[in-house]
Amino acid sequence: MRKIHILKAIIDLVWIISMPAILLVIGLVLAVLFRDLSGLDIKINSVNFNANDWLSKTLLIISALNYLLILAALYFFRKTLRYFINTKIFDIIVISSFKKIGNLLSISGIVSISISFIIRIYYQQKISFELGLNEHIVLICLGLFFLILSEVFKIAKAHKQENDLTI
Amino acid sequence: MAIIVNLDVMLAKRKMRSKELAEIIGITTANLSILKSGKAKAIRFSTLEAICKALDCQPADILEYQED
Repeated sequence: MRKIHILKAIIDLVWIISMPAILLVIGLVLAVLFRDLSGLDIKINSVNFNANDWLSKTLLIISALNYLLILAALYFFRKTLRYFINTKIFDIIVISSFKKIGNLLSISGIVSISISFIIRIYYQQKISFELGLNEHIVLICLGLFFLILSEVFKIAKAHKQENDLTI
Repeated sequence: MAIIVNLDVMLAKRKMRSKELAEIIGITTANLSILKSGKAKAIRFSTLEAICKALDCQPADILEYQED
């Protein structure tokens, strides 16, 4: 079980580093909504956003909020690891956390792939398909994996309960 | 549940305490209590055999089917 402590340490570190980013994201959303950012050169995925354009503003806000979804998933993952360390593996909280992580990551993946698609069409005027795994597909797959894991844990919990109540 | 555990009845007939039976068959009193209260999901043949041996009875004396 030493590996879980290493994983928990890494996730805690990522979480602590991400904390100021939440404030930055909220600040960015507010700035995009209420300030004129035309002087600022905002570049995401090598695409320049013209901050005065309503589509750019919307995409920027959605991207920022999408990042918060990943952080929420990270929060639930930390919570799950805490339960694992306390050997409460088949707790109902673990199952619901896995489901939440799965939903958050899947939504985040779908949103990011949609944003990427819109950016390519609107700003670069091209449609391109990439073969293999890209970050958006990985995110969606990871989300679906967590959803499956939640189902597997639900089945395992029922089996454990049955085993515990077999005399 | 449709299966009724009549262990209490057999224990009373044999004038044996739950703790005593638990010691003889080698299970904890907590597990025997689960079995008596009908909360158990399943019973191993080995446990059933030990209970029948200790109480000198048949499985049918302990387990009974009743329609819901």
